[in-house]
Amino acid sequence: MANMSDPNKVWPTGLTEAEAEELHRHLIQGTQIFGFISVLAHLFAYIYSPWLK
Amino acid sequence: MIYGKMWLVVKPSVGIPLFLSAVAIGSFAVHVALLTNTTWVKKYLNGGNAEMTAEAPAAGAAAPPAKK
Repeated sequence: MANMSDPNKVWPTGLTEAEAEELHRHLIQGTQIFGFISVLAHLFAYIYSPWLK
Repeated sequence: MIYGKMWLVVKPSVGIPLFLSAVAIGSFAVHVALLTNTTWVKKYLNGGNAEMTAEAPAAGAAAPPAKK
């Protein structure tokens, strides 16, 4: 059902498949950037105040 | 990666605020947990005020001990 032959079909939410995929790409990219910053923050926090052993 | 088609059935005007709110609440919870379970967050938020001047003479001799 998702792999329909009409690439311009507008789904109930008002998006086409291409629009949905593009939106999701942006969401994933934003999440990854958040993740990188989070890893950096954890690194700095561990260097300052290690919480394991 | 594989959930792009989610926005065909979930309205972005609902899903994106929901996602961002979940991230914000989670982040807030982690910061509050650190505030209540460590000493250094409170010290950081207190900045360099009177507490530092009281500690300075005592801490001067026993230079930098591990702080937590």
